[in-house]
Amino acid sequence: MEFEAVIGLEIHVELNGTTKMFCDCPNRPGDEPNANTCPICLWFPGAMPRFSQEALEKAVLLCLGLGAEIQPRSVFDQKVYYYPDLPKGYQLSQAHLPLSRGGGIEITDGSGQRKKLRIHHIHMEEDVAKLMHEMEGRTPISLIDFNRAGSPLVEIVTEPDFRAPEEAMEFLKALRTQVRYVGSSECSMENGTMRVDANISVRPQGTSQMNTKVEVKNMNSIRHVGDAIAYEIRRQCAAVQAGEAVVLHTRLWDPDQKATVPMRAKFEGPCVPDPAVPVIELSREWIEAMRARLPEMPSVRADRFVREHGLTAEEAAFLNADPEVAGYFESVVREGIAPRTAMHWVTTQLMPALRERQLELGGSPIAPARFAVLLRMLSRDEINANAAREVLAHMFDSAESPEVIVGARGFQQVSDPGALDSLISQVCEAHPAAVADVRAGQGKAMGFLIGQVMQASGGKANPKKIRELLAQKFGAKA
Amino acid sequence: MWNTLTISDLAARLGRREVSAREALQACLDRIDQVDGRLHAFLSLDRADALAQADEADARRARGESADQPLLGIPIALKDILAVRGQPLGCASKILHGFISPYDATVVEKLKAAGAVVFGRVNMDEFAMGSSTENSAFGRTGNPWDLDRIPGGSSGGSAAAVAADECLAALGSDTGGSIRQPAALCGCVGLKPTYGLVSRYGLVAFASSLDQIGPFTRSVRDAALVLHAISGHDPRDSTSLPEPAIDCAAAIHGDLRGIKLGLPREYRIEGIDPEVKSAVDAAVRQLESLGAEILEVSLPHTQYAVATYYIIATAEASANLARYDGVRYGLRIDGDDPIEMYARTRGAGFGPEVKRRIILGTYVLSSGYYDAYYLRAQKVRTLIRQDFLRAFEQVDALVTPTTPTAAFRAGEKVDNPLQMYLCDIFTIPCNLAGICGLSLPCGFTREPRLPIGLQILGPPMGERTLFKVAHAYEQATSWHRQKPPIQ
Repeated sequence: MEFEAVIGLEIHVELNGTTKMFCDCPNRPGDEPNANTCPICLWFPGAMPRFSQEALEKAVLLCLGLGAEIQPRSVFDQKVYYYPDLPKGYQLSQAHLPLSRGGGIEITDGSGQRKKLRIHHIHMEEDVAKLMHEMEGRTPISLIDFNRAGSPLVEIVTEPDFRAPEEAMEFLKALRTQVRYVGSSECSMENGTMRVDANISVRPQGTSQMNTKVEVKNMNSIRHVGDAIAYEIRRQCAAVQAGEAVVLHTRLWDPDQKATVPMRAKFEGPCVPDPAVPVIELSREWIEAMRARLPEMPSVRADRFVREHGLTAEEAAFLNADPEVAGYFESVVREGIAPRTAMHWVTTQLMPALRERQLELGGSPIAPARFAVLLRMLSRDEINANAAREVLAHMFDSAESPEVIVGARGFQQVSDPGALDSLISQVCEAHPAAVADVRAGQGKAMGFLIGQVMQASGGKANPKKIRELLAQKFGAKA
Repeated sequence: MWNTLTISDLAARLGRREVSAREALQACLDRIDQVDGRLHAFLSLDRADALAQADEADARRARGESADQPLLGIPIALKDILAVRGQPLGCASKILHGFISPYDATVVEKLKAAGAVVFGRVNMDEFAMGSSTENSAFGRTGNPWDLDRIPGGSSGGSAAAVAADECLAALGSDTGGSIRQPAALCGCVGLKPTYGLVSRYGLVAFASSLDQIGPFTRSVRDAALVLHAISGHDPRDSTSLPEPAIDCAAAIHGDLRGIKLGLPREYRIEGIDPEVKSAVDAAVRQLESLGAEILEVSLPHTQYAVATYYIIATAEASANLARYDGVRYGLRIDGDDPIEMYARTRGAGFGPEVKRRIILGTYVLSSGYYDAYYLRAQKVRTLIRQDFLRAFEQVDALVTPTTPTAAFRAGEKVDNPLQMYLCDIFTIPCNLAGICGLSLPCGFTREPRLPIGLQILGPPMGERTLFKVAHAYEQATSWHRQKPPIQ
């Protein structure tokens, strides 16, 4: 029997507000354990939550960026469960009336078709503390770091629209891009600012029933999400074929075993509207004011790059995967650099050079204007590509302008026919056989001679010019 | 005997330097030494801290910082449910064993700023759940009028301490009558302000949509003074109203001509004690003779109030009390895993009434019952509030008994929770509606001689009317000047 998978995602995104969601403690989970705590986020008796307006704005921008509809009225509930990571025995979460409904992301599926993956709703909630299990001598102990308790989160709950692991991975990559665009979160699975649970069930191909699902947690990269979903689909298909029933439960992805393993169920208690956090009522005017604050979203910007800069759709999508890269590209283009040159040099030279040096685009010494100076010299044939790469390397180590680096280190391209002619004569004398081949019309020999002249010039000669002069020299006599 | 005065009297004498704050506090401490071994209103008392505050109040007065500070040097006791920095905060529960609050409740901050001497931890029903203070994990408090009887609850310690002259005033909290009912049974004035008028920051939550902090005093004017000091918007409590502190002193004057008072038809129930009924009837005639117009009004959903309350209050409590898990503070009894630790800690830490309410609340919120109980109760709550708002279109305030009976004997109702819950039948609707209510003495039963309370209910932010009516009645009677027999 052919099976088809039905997959939905629940994605927690940690908002990058400066404070926690219900108190003024800094939202810096990575600080020294329990440094960022107070009677409110430790939930001492009598403490009361005070909802952060900044968290609300970050959440609303995130929702609007995903095309979701902000609800005029949303409410925080107390989700009761008992676990040491939850300091008051309940989590403040919008369980019944979420901040937004609808929205979605368009991806390209396995057959190359555009496919919209819908979002059911997005709600706000607070994060919980971090547990660390250690040994004190021979005694296992559990330590709790409450720095993260109360950090602002949104949970994005999708419709079960996904049919393949790749769709989930595409969705998450696009989601990450979108969220980074609106500036609400770093949205990185690696550092835990995006956490993904997948709900998976299988059914005979062509049917429309919804079978019992299994929830899979504990993936810490987008690749792991894909691997975990693929594994779970295989596991469930095998189970169904063996005549076993799939039961509702939660499994953990074990990246070492490359398998999902069952997890003990947590007790889930009641859920009641929280009487201490006011109902969040948002006017149409306020929502529109927030919408006006949205930056140009990546798909819109990618379309514009195709239209205005003549890039291919793939190139435009690639640049727009990271808002910083796209912004950098546009800054370079605004300096008068041809878009294709800018695209090529940003993606194939600058980005790898940054990665090599573990630098971020924002904090690098290669500001767009400085990079544009380099590319302008290249376009004007003042340096060749080899030299440009070398100059770029020097630009990381010194604050000097590319012109100064070129001048001081003699990277200027040699295009002067007089200087090149003497080099060409030397090379031709040294390689009579190649000259004969060129005369016989062999293109390969021409390339060899150009290479020899380049080498003789110490890499500074203008290869276009050499070819021109060689063609003149032999073409005229041929 | 400085401890027996009203706040207004003591403030005047402090102002005239007839007495120092230290001497006034010492009089209270002496009285506590004299009677509290039998009364048991105080769970703990930091004498050194209280005396330091009194000395500071005297120093402030000596520096001339006494203008507009009617509470400067006034000893005020606190229910064990309000956070005071550096003092134990226990809610009369074993589960908070050893917990010291690292911060001040907003009301405590305000009282300290006003120069009051904020002292003592007074007894209560555990986590404010009860009507007799018998649910305290640390023993019951006696009624100063008859030590074998209960002082009411849950703020029984606050009421008993004020009635027995152990302090000039006390703060309590009222979720379903926990200020007004003990005030009635001990013969003092108790006010539950409009929901949101007093910040709840630092009040240990029982049922957050119903809880309100309020004063116990020996006169209506004193209650207005304390309310003025503790009320007003607080950004730390998102449910606090956008109102400044309310000063009702100006409203306290004159007769009641032009005031319309309503008698709710549905409050005339079976089971009301005949002596209570006749005292309240007499009070109504007195109010009429002071110029008030008396009308009968209807609050048609009254009969559902107790049931609605016990669904909403227990539902909220089940979540609010989830934080007492032994992980971060208070009692912890270890287990092999966290779940076992919770079960042992909560099993040993909570008393039977608290457990009963957590179980009730968890039940009404459980899937399958949520709509039938919790959601329906919320709807009925809206109807009850509408009943009151409609009544307040016809009248300025409502007049009812505070309780159906006077103080009962300790142990009389402990095995019958339903009967205990009915003690609050006249006080509960006020919390559900979020309106304000005040209880003041309106007579005594004959044998034994026990105080009877008159309840006046006002619309949201209707405190001025409450005080006007209550003060006019108080000035025309002498019940509030009667002292209990405890010596």
